[in-house]
Amino acid sequence: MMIGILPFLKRNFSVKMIPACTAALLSLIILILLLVSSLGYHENSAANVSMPVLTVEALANRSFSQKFENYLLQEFPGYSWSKKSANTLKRLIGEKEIDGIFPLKDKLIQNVSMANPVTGQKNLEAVLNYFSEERTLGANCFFGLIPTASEIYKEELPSAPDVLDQSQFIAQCYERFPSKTVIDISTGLMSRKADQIYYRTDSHWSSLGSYLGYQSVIKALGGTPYSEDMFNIEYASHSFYGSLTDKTFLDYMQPDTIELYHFVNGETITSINKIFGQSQTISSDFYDRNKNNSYAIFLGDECGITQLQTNIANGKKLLLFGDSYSYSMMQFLSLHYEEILLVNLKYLTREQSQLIDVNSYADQAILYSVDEFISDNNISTKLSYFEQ
Amino acid sequence: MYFSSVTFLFLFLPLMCLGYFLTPKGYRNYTLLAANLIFYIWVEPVFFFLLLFIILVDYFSGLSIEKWRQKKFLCKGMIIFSVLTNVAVLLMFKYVLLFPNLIPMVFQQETPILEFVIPLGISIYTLQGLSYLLDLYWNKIKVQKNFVNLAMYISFFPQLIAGPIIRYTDISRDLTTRTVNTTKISKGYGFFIRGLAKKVLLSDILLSTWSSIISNDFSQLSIASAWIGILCFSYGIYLYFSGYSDMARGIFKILGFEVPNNFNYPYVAKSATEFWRRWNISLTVWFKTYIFSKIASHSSSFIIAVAKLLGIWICIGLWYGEEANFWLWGIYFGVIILIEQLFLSSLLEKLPKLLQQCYTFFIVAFGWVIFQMDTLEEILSYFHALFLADLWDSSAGYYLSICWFPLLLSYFASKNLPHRISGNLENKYPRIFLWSTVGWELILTLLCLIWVASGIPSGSLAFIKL
Repeated sequence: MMIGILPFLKRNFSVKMIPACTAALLSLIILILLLVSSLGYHENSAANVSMPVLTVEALANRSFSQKFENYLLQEFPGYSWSKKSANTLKRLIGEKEIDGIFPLKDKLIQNVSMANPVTGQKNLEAVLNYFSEERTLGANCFFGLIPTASEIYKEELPSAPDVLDQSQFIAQCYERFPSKTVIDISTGLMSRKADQIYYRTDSHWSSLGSYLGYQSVIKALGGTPYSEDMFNIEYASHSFYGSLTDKTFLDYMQPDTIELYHFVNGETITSINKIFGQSQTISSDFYDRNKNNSYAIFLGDECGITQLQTNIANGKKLLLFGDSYSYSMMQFLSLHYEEILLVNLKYLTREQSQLIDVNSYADQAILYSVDEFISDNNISTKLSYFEQ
Repeated sequence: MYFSSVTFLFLFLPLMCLGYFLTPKGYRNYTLLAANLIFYIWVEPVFFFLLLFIILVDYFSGLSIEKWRQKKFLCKGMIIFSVLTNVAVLLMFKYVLLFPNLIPMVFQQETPILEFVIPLGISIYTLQGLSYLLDLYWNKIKVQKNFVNLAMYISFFPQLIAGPIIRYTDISRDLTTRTVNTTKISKGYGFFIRGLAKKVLLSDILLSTWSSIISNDFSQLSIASAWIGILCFSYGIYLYFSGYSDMARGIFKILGFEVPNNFNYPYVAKSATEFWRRWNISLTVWFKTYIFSKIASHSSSFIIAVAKLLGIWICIGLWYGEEANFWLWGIYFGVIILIEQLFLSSLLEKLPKLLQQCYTFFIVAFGWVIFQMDTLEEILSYFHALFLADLWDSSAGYYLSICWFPLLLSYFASKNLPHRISGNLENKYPRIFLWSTVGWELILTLLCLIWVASGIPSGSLAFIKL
């Protein structure tokens, strides 16, 4: 058949056919590569997608066609190159926000907007309700909201109309609590905004930002934070490109450095017990060295319950409800408590919640980044697990 | 599987073309029908049987009309039955909000599979079926006895998303005898890639900017933001529809079919009347052929003529959607066109061409405000922002920074100047024209490939479902 096509092409070919032939050739190559990828080769190894299963129901409710499109996209040869090229072009023609991220001169910043005001309101009510529960009345309960980079560097952002005024939001939330029970994290961060307190390519705060957050938290909880010179800094990576680069494929800025703060008097953590669904892991390493180039270096993968035991024999126990921001802060908080129970409501199951005896913790805190607090329904639904 | 999806561009379309060109000529319609049905099952599986029902009704009605040609009563009865069936299906499924009680309970939200949505292409394939039946009844065409040919015509996938509405008379000859050659393929590809570029490189950005602007409280919008919004929508919606029409026309041409142009630079029109001669031409021609020409001749008084005119424009508005704003949009254009026909046209003709074009653009742009807003309150509020709000705010600068480049390109793309320049170039320097066209289409191919493969979300998919 091919031999028959060649003379036909030779007879009929004209310059005008070049674009159509190029497109046909490209389509053919892409089609073959897609077939190859379905047989095992993956262009985008980070993407966790599998070929959707075709059922009558999935076809009828169009979930199959949507998942199939997503699957093809993730397996598309040159997906990362295309995404990077498209986003670079968009940036060059002046687009100020790409996939919900502001590409600034030297960093990427996640836009935090109030997509659904109801979620934030419900979460706030849930926190108030939790603190008014009888079992928490005797405990020292604290609530803190962590501003993200889009608040601290708001003067650098384009004047997009949907950027949430986080300071105002935090103030409105804090009005509902007694002033002694709220943690002012913003002031400490603002005072050091000239330093690298957030990663340039990731949505989290850096170890320095986390240290500043720790200072505010521990002061609120009645302790005295250790000064910065009580820590030796280890550089785990100088080539960290975080979640914001993963999302946009924009890597025009300098990579981030991951800093690990080691207490000069030696590590205090003796064991870390992590409960994932039905399984649990026990270790004594705070840093997951297999994830040197990722924010997950701090305590590894997120899970419902993380219990840290330390050699600080002061009998003090802290129950902390928090998101991924809290993970990097544990390296500092663990210097003040004999035990810390970190509960990540996003991953907590009802069964896991039954393992927690809230009454046994004299210090309790709910600490969330504003981004998570206004968007995660788990906070309102899962805090209710702890109602009497 | 919209035309800018990876599934369509890199799986469906190449395999369909490959299958089509490898099939012996006499059997190609079978391949195309199979492709149409696969496309529909993929995109709108629940309503596949509705499409099949319409095809069967139209096919057997056509045969019956032909059979009972001499028995006028039966013939008339059959055309009434078939027209009413098509219209009833259209009303029931597209205008569910107007007639909620007509929809059986199985389509209510308790059963997610049958959750009610407007079936894709229903306003196109029912009107195409009607064009076949009415032309057959009026003896303008011969009956199509080949089921595959008629089914292929009604269910043709290229026009199902955004038209054009192809009348049976325009395509009947190509259904049986058509030629495919390299000239048609290269021209068809040119149409397709330009259409795809209009959709993904320009329209999506403009329509998502518009979405962002109208997500604000209108009372907080500045005049500048409101005008940027309406400019984005005016060009975005034009490029969306004309992009899809170009893609459809391109696919038709590659397959050997000739279909008329659906958008002829509507923003160079010098009046609203002329705008509608250039905008969605296939729709206007359909209404003119099958409704307006039939009732206009019986108009007796001025009031009845005006009522009929407004009725037609309400129908055109309703074709785009069932909500009240589409009624209002239709009435708006009906009134403007009436005023133009009564006296304004003669005044407009005395103005410079540029002013006439500006007048038309603003009339159309104000119409888009009505087209897009759900309530009268929103319409008034947006008009307030267009004229009476603060002149400028920081958001306006942000929106402008996003869309100035696509807007600039859209402005030129919507003018016939590039078309005229390329026409002159083709006449005077054919070789330069040839190579520049090739280069331009290659660049567009690469850009579209990057854009589509990057998975940049399409902001306009949910905008309108015809």
